[in-house]
Amino acid sequence: MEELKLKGLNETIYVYETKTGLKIYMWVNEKISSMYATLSVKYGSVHTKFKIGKKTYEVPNGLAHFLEHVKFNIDEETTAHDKFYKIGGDSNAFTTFDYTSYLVFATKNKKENLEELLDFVYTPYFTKKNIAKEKGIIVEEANMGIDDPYSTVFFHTLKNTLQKSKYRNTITGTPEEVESITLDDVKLAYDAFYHPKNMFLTITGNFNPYEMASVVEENLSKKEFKEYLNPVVIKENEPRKVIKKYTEEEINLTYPQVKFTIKMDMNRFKDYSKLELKILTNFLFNINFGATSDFREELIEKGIVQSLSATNDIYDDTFIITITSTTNFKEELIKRVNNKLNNLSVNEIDFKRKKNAAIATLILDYEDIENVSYRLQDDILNNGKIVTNLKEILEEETIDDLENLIKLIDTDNMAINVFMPKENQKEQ
Amino acid sequence: MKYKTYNCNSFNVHTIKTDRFKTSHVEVIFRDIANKEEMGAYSFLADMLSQSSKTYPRKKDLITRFEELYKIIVYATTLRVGNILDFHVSLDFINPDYINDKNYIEEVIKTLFDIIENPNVTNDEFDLKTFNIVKERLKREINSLKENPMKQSINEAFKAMNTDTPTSYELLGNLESLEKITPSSLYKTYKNLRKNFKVDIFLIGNLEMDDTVSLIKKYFKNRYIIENKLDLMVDNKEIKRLVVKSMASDNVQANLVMIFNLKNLTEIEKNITFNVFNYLYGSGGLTSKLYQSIREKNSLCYQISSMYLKYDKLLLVHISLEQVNVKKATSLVKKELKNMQAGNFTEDELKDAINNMIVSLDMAQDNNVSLINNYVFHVFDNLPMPEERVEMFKNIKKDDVINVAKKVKLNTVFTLEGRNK
Repeated sequence: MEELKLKGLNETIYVYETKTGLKIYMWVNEKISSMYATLSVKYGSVHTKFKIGKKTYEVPNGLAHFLEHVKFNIDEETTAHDKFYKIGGDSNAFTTFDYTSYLVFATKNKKENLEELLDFVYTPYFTKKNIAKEKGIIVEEANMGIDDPYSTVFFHTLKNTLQKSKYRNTITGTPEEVESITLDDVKLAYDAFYHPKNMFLTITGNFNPYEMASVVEENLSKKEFKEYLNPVVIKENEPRKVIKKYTEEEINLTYPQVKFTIKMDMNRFKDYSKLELKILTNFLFNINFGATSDFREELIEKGIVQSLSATNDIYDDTFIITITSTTNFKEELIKRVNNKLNNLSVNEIDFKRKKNAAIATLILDYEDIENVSYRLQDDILNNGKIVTNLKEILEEETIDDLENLIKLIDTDNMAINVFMPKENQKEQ
Repeated sequence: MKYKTYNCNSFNVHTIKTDRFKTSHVEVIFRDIANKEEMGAYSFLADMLSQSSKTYPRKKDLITRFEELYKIIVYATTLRVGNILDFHVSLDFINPDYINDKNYIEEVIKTLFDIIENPNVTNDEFDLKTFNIVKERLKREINSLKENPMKQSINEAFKAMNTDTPTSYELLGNLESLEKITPSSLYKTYKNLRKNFKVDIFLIGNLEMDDTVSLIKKYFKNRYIIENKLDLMVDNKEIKRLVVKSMASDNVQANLVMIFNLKNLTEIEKNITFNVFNYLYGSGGLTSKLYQSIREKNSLCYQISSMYLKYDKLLLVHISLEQVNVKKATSLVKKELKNMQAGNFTEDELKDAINNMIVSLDMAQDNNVSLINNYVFHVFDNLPMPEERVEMFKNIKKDDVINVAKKVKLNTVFTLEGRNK
């Protein structure tokens, strides 16, 4: 067992690798009673084209999410939920673009709950009948997304910005894509990706890490795993340019919303780690567009916008900064945002205050079993390891780092996505 | 965990001292009888106080101050609990042990009460610029209700129920009432809040409680002693004839809402038994009767909400589904209720439901806001503390659940229609 000390936080992450190749990441808090375990597979909605050996496979959009649903079936009559219910475990699962996670909360029978999590995820039971049954449920879930204007705004913005990337598609898939999924698709994806070597377990809360590691080791030793097929995901080469510099569409919103997406190649930031790039961009855009910026305050006071915020995301080799606003004056907003993007600035007082606030948030995250678990998942998937010196990284960032980043931001390649209300949806 | 109440003449401070969390949480709760015409004005006021104060006149100044104090979070909200309007001002802050500043806690408490005590008012009127920003935002929020089909369908179902009780009051008010609010009338609302609302403060954290309460007394100048006894329960009367209504919409899915009256629940049925019934019936996730029947056996929907509105004496079931399946789902909801009334559930199912509810109560002990909420309802409504409730849950028998099931009577079926017909 490896014990990783998180510098400046007085926290320890226990790391253990089982003989099957499954890595376990654990954080202990003895002051609470709950335990939260997540078993995640590095297989998400964007992994629809992959190679095993020399053969290339292409599966329908929405398959990872579909597999997450049907994975809960244990036999014709029983689901994993029934089993957890019997032992007092609160179970669920979610699928993102990049991974799928099965989870359980428990305050008692912790070992049993952890074993049940391993048992149901590592015991496939897929039949034509349960595939057919689940389609109706997932089509309704996809339809809920269609009726949610904010989900539409999010996915349509990605579609307008990315040309070929799989991140253009919704996680559930469209109702038609869901209907097209077959039993063979489900089995193929499970066999290819659901192997301990392509998965990881996080456990956070009150438990003994040595005991839990041995429970997992023993449980997995009783299971047979085929050789890992080592699927190689085929990514689309995303062109540098946005699809359209300006789009306007009518959806079921009441007030217009504008999203600016600045698209850049990650090569541009080759001197930065992904983590550092995200931290610095957060600071930079928070200072310029966030709640303490003069720019935002002026736009709100003048009634040009009602809200304004900025986020940033890495989609494979593409870095996207998104500025989101609700406005009735899109032309004026576009003019001002363009102007502001060409005049990004930072000052020492704002930067120092934001840094202190970020450090406080980091300290506070280590009181919540879900937040810590999410941090561990994020580290493993996006940073490739547990980052033990995040507080130090935050403390060591300087205003010069921000000023250097400003020089690298290329606002030329920006998509402006305007979402207008449909005629019958407009303010009465 | 150590509970202690401090009587500070015109208000009480209820404290929970625990080292379980790195965050401390404070709730300042003002309470009075909910009044239909004034609901919107108090929501407006909550938004105004969250926006600025005399010391921090712009939102930017206020957020800057919060960040200076290591990202404290302060906000005001309104909430209707049965007959009562609760006006909350909430504060989250990092425990002072992590901050190398001996005045930290005093600065935090001072900022909280600056927001409450020093609104951005001149000549008895709220600052016009901030007023207009908030008014526009609230107007948009009211108009945007139809963006959320679930909320819209529940709101319309309450209207269809045709009740004039507080259950049908809209928290944000409506466009008409919003138009009537002025910077000057809003200041009168503020004065009314300070004069006529009963105040209680709840505080949880690893703090020196005597010292913290002294700071609260130093910065909170509450002048009026209010002794109102506030009855929470709304009397939604049973109706003789079932209400069935629908409304067209542009949504892909239909949204079905079914509202049930709950007749004469005793104190233990209200606090314990009905929760067990609802867990088995619909709120207990995929294993519940409604999920099993409507989602798992018939694949009609993704999600079902079965909400026990304790203080409104109502049960509400909401389902998003294809329009063509509304009739079938309605009859399945009724059928599963009949099954519960006939006792068609096993002792094992009951035992598992109770065990899972106890686990949920245990888990809530790991969250500071849940702990405060338990304490709030213990103080306001004599809700037994979680440890007591665990014992009460263990004593629930099958006949107790059948008895509460028999007290459930369908009142309204409302459908916000989907366009996929």
